Amino acid sequence: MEQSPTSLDPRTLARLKGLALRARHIVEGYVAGLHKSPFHGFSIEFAEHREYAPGDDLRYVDWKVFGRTDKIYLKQYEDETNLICYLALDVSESMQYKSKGAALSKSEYAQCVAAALGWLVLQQQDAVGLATFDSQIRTLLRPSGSPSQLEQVLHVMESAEAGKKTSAGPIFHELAERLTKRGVVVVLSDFFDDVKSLVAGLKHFRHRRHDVVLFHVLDPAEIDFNLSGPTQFKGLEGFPEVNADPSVIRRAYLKEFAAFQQSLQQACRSQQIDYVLMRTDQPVDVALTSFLATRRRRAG
Amino acid sequence: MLQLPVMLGFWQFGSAWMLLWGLAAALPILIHLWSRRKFREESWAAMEFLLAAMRKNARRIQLEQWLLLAVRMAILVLLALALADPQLSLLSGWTGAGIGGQTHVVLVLDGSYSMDYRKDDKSRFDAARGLAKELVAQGQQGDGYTLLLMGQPPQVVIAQPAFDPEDVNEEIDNLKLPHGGASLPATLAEVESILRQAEQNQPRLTRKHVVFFTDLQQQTWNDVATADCRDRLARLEKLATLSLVDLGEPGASNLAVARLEVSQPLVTSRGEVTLSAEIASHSRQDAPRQAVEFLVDGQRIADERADVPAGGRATVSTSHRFDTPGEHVVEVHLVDDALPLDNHRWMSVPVREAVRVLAVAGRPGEARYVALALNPRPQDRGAIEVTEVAESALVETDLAPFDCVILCNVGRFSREEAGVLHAYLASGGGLVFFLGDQVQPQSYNQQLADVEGKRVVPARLGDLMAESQYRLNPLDYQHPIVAAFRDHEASGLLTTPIWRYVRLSPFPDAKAALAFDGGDAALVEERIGRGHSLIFATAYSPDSLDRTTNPPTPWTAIASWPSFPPLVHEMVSHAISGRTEGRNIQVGDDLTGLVREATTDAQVALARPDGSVERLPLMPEGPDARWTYSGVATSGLFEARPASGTPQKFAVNVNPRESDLARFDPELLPSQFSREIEPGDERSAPALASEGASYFRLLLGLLLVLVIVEPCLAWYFGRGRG
Repeated sequence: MEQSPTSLDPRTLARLKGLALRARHIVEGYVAGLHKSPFHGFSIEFAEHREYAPGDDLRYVDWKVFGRTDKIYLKQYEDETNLICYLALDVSESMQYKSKGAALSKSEYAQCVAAALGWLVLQQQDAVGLATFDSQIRTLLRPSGSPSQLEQVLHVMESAEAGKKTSAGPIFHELAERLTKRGVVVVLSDFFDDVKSLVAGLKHFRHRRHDVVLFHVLDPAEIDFNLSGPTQFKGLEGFPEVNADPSVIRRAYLKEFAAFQQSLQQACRSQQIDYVLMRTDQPVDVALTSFLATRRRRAG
Repeated sequence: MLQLPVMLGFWQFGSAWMLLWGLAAALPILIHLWSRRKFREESWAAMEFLLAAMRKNARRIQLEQWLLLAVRMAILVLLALALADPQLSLLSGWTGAGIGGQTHVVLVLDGSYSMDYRKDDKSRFDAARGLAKELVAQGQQGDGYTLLLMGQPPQVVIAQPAFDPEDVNEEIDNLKLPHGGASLPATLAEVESILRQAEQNQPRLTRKHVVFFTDLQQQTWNDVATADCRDRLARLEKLATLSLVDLGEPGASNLAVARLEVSQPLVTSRGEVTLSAEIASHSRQDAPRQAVEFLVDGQRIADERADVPAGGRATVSTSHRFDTPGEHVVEVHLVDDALPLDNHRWMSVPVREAVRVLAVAGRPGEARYVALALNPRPQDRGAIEVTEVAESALVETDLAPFDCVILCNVGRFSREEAGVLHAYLASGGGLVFFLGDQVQPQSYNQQLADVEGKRVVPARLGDLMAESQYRLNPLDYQHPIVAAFRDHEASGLLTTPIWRYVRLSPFPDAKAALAFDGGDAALVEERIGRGHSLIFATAYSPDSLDRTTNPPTPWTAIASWPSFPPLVHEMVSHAISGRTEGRNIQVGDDLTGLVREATTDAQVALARPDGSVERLPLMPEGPDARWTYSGVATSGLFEARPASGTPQKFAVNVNPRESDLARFDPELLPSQFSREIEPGDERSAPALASEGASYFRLLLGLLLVLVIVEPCLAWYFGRGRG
């Protein structure tokens, strides 16, 4: 028996027209129930040490104390600065892909997630900004903590036109240069790009001491490759047409795709970047809950 | 089982039309082609990975696809094959029938009389005919058949390929088993000739098969190892495929009448003769108390019992007196066994009132000792009647009534006399020459020895040897004339006193029955024409004297020696054997007879054993005429009935060597014979024709395996599909 969809099921969201409506539905249905943002600001004034507990962010470990005492303490600061959350949304052509069984395209799904995160950040009086990109930066909305900022964000995302090929690496370099204030950079993309170039761009963010989170938005068909029958694949982003029997090529495709995911995850781990895989057939709340829980534990 | 409309090599199908389902094997290809035209379109973002996967695995994927396609096609083909119920039939392979090309099938049926060996009232030859017809029935449209009976000589029944199966079957039905042997070399030569002719006349018959139906009797097949046969087979192998159907069986036993004899060559009504029959066993078991029946002119005269040892022989005899002169027939037979043909043997016995001998004296009284030796009591009616005449009466005397002419110390011969003697010899008469002091060797050589085509004596005469004490050498008693003296040394043959003799130079075909201890021939005989001519190198009469000595000394003292009477009897018996020669022959020989003073426009009616009559032309031979019936094929009694004169009976018997059913070892057959059916209990044609193994279950098993393998392969190649 088919499971009845939750209110944040992509199929439910798909029935709602317009991003604003979907965002509100998510916020009212799920995010509003959360009491605390998973994002924290950065503070300079040291207040006290606190003993380490599992799940704490290792970045706040006082290594000097550890060197002297063999005990792990975290440094706690007097007052945290306001958080700036930069949402970087991929609007390339590949993000428009929606498989036959999927309710939302990757782009629509990513917008929903971005809207929810934006609302969360704004709710705790922090600032949120937005950049849309494909092969170049299409729109850059400066960070702001004003209540109307969410509407701006939603509007920009909704009105973003599908671009062409993703070229995330150079874009990340450019963004890293332009996002001068230190903050949390949340990238929502399928990352169908050269991994080396991508990682180089992400390194640039980290070099600027940004906290980076990757939301890897993928359609279930791309992950499982459960297509059937001879298929003519019409390549997006300028790729040629290809005829193939998915059942025959599936094993090889999955191998290639897994290699791509592993290399991306490996790069994220090495750069201390949070990697979150999001399937567009997954309820948004489920996707966000696991991510938010992880962040919360880390924040302590 | 439905007989096959279609055959593929050695395969035959119970339901050949079901093979059409094999066309379904094209379905996977068609589906593949059709589905290629029905591609579902799908916009795809992750093209980079798809392209990389295809690029790296293109070859493997193609192989897997071919393998899957092959398995799917094999499933459908196996299904069609299983439905068609295929059977492997060796027999169908022998015909060479199959798809593509028409076949020239040479059917060779063993015609040796061992093929008459019966089991359940059906002979091997019947089985061979049935199988041959079965092959013809199984042939393809357009196949040509030639038919050969492997005999001695072989009979070509259908020389040019016949294309109408009904005609071929009719010829096979009409085949009659000859009662002779079979010549493998001659048969192979005929087969080669037939194949080569067909190659020229019927080039469209591209495939050629020769099928031998034989019982592999050793008597026939021993020749296969000869160089001639091996060469012939090597040539035949290049022309055709050779197959062999073995209709024989090991361990077959047989009893046969191997010989039937009368104790003397010319039987008279004035004395008893001994009839003896030899029974041969070709079995591994003794045959005690076998009933042997003697019949004369169809009337049973004796019923004897013979204890025949395994693989050995036994002789049974009975005495009989022919009461009346004329044509008589002696028959001996055993109780019929599996091979009845050799359980009978006949003998034609022309019985005379007496044997008539003409003794020609070179000078008065010269022949009296011979006459006395042959008939010691002239006043009685003995079995031999001797008429003495002077040398001068030779030309005027009609020699025809005489069975033998003895010439005693005749000095010289005229051309006329030589002509008379030659004609007499040619007609089957017997001549015996005793030399003596009157003999002029030059005249003998000129008139009797050196006459081209009309020779009368078996040796040229040489010098008169100097006086000495000469002794006779029996030459191991090899010759029939002296065979009776073996183990009878007291008869005095070896001590016969001889002081002078004429050195003889025998002609190549002549045989020495006796020699002198110095090595020169003493008694020489030769068959000339239908008669026999004998010459004794010295005189028998004491009247021949060496007048160079004083007092003159005789050439010999034979006439007074105890060995003389039996020696003269044996010489006469041998000399007259030509009178009855030709009356008793073997299957395959020519039957021939002389009709006295007949015109060539007359005919002789020859009645065969089956009652049919054939009229034979006469060929002139001197004042007489001869008829000939070539190559007698069946055993039994024949009767020649001339337009005028007495009918003559002839006995034709089977060759006793064919009675030995010992088999040629099939393992020793040359490699050219590709196929062979092992001897079995069921020899019927339908049984053979349908004895192919069915592969229905095997195919279904394979089908089941493939049906299981196919999804496994598909899953493995697609790893987790669905």
